[in-house]
Order: sequence, then structure tokens, then C-alpha cells
Amino acid sequence: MKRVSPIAVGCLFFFLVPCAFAGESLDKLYGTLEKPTYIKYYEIDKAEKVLLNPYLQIASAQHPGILHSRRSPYNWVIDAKGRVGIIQEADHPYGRTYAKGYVRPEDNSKRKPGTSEKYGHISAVAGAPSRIGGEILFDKRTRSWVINNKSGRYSLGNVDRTPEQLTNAAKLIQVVIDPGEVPWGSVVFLLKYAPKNVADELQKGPDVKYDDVATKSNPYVLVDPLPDNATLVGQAAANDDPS
Amino acid sequence: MRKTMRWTGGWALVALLAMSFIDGSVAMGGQAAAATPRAAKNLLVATDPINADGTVNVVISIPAGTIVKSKTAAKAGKSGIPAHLRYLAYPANYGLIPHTSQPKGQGDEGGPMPAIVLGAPIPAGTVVKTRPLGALVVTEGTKIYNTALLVAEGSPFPILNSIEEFDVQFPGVTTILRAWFTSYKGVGKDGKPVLDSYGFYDREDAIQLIGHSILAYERARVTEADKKPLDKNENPVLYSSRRAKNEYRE
Repeated sequence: MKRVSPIAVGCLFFFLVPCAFAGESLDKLYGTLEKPTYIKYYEIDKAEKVLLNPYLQIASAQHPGILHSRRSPYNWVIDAKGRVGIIQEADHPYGRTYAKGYVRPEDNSKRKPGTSEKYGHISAVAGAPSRIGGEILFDKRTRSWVINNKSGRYSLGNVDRTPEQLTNAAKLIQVVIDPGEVPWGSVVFLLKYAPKNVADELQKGPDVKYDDVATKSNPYVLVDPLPDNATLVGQAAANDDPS
Repeated sequence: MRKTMRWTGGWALVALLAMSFIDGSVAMGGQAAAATPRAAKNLLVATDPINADGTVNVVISIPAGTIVKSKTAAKAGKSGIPAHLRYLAYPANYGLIPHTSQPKGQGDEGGPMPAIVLGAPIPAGTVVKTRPLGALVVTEGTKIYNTALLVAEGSPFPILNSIEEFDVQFPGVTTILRAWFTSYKGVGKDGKPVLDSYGFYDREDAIQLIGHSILAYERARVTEADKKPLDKNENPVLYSSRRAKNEYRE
């Protein structure tokens, strides 16, 4: 039997083990990789490929993304490598505009007349398995960016898309994406897009809030992702410019 | 021995000539010839504009430091010798972003978006991955040419949010580009420069311009017949919950 060089085994160990741990870390931070819960008929072209969003940015420490309040809303998703894919809404070339409205097959909800079919979260990752996803919205009232976990493809229905994962994702987003002239604001965990056991637990707690308190519609909790020593892209420049 | 050398030399010559037809460019004395128009056109059709890692593809037609104009090669005549620019060499790589279409009133309306790529000289016919830095706005009479300014992956130029920041770190680069791209056509019959420039858009605007031109291309090509049918109640259907065929690759 051939003897395997101990040096070779050692090198393999020191290469493979960190790789394994890195994957495990990302799973814990942002949720495990999961296929999108569905793909819409128009998101596939004739070759059955998912079209990438034409305004796609893949943000990382090496290549930060950039936002502008005029382009809100943005969708975001954490990909397999722990980068943040951000996209803008735009009417999809293979989609339709429904003069009479339509019923969405994924949740049987009705859409009002004039609604157009748009690029979704999967256009940030070409439909690949990904981690937690959501939206970045410009809040006109507070004039700040709001991050949430609203993604029917990558948040809804997944057991490990908890407030902790959203907090970690928001921290990452705020480090690798330049918010432009608009500061970062609230991070909102929507219970509708949470796993059922997590949503039920949070609903009983004191921190739950509602869009409409009377009807208790759209429950959510606020999470605060900013540690004292967070480094924010663009913050230094913004602080230097009082205007 | 002599016979062997003749055979070897002969096949080497055939291989060299074959390579020039395959990739459309042959390096001769350090100056690359332009890609054949057909090769470039095939790449523009076959190449996606954006990659899953967020980079933008550019098909290079004119390498930095050359004066060969590929688009006039077809008009070079029977000699087949490409036309040459009567000016200083291109200060940066020049090419086109595939699957893009310039909107009405802009540049070569309906044609692909032009691109300036910073980095080392890249052979013509190469598809290079880049990231947007800005866009140069050049005017010719009432026409506006938005030319994307991008940085080749692996080049020493960083991606910054504003041209102003870029100018601080790399003084003169954008000045040179603007001067060259507004001067290479010289002056008109009225003695005034044919081209002028509004300056540069920053990175965020460049992302928008590129995105608009990708959307314009797709929308121009998709017809109602290409769209999948609705169900009997005129509602959309789901494609599937399985993974799409273009599995994520780096």
C-alpha cells in the first residue's frame, strides 16, 4: 500500500477545514442556502435561464455597492459567498401589464389593475440557492433607509430566517453599501416573512408593533444592528459635509 | 532532416494563419490588429451583458495604444488592410457592451453601448469583465454619446463612487480621456471642433445608463409570442419551484 505524505495531508487539512468553517459561519450568520420557493413564468427566458437584473450590484468589501433615494425600492439577498446582491425594481421584458389586475399564483393575492410584472429577488442571483433576503426602502417620513426581511423567495418559508439573521445581514449591508446622502435608519423584521414558530413567539412578546394597531395588520419588530464601532461606507464623507 | 523542417515550418505557418481567423486578432510587433467585424458581432450576440458576480462584460474592439479602427475594416477595400485613425493612439481600451441598445436621441441609436475600459491593453475580440466607474458624455451636434467608463477586473484602478474622488487619486486620467474623445475627429468645415463634452457621470448614474440600455435591448426583442401563456382565467402561472438552468457559476 502506498504511503501518503503527512505533509500533503497536513496541507489538505489546513485548506479544507477553514473552507468548511467559512461555509458554516455564513450559514449561521445569514441562514442556510435554499432554493427560491418559486420562479415566476416570466423570469425565465427562451433558453430557460433566469435573467439577471440590468441594474444588478454585487456588494462586498472589495466592491461596495451604492444607493440613491430616487431608485428606491431596492431588493437585496445574501448570496452563497456572503455578498449582498442588490437590484432595482423594473418592469420585466418577459412580463405583462394587467389592465384588469390579476391573481398571483404564489399566494392567491389579487393585484390591482395596471400592475406590471417586475424583476424579483432571483434576478440578483440568477435563481441560485441563497440566504436571507429583503428590501431596502427610502422612508420619506424619516428620510432614511429602512432594511427589512421581505422576500417571498428567500425569507418566507425558511426556518432559519430569524431576527438574528436579519440583524447580521443589515450589519453587512451597512458596511458594504454606500447609502449616498441618505443615512441608515430602522431595520424591520416582518413577522409575515418569518418562520411560523418564530412569528408566533414574537407576536406574544412586548416588542411587536403593527402597521395598524386597531386591526393588528402587518406585525413587525425593530432590530438594531449598529454596534458602536461599525465602519460605514461613506459615513466619513457624509460627516465632513454638513449639507 | 530538411524535409522534416519544411513540413514543420509549413504546419506552423498554417497554424498561425488559422489562429488569426479564429480569434480575429494577431499580435504583430506589439500592435494588435482589430477583430474582424463578424467575430465582434458574433461575440456581441453570444455574450451576456452582466455576470452573476456583478461585473459587466465588454467586447474589446480597439486595444489601448492602437490606431486601428475595427469598424472601418470592412470598408478597407480588397487589400483587407484596416483603416487607421489619423490621430494619437487610443488612450484606453475601447469596446461595446453586448446586449445593449442605446435609446432614441443617443449616440448610435439602437446600437450597443460603447465602453472605455481602463487597464492594461487588451487584445481585440476579448470579452473582458469590468466594473462601472462612470460615463463620459460626448456631443456631436444634437447627438449625445454616453460612453461607459469601466475598470477591467484585476487592473490597479479602484472603483470609486465619484469621478472627483478618482481624479484625486489618479490625476489627469479623465482629463486625458475627455480631451482625446472630443478631439480625435478634429474640426469641422466651420473650423470648430466636431465633438464636445458635458463631462462625466459618476458611478451610480453609469449603473443606470448601462441598465437602461440592457432593458432597451431586451424589450426591443421580446414580443408577445415569446411570453409564456397565461392560464384559462388570464392569470399568470409559476414556472416551477426547481432551480433554473443557468446555475450560478463564477
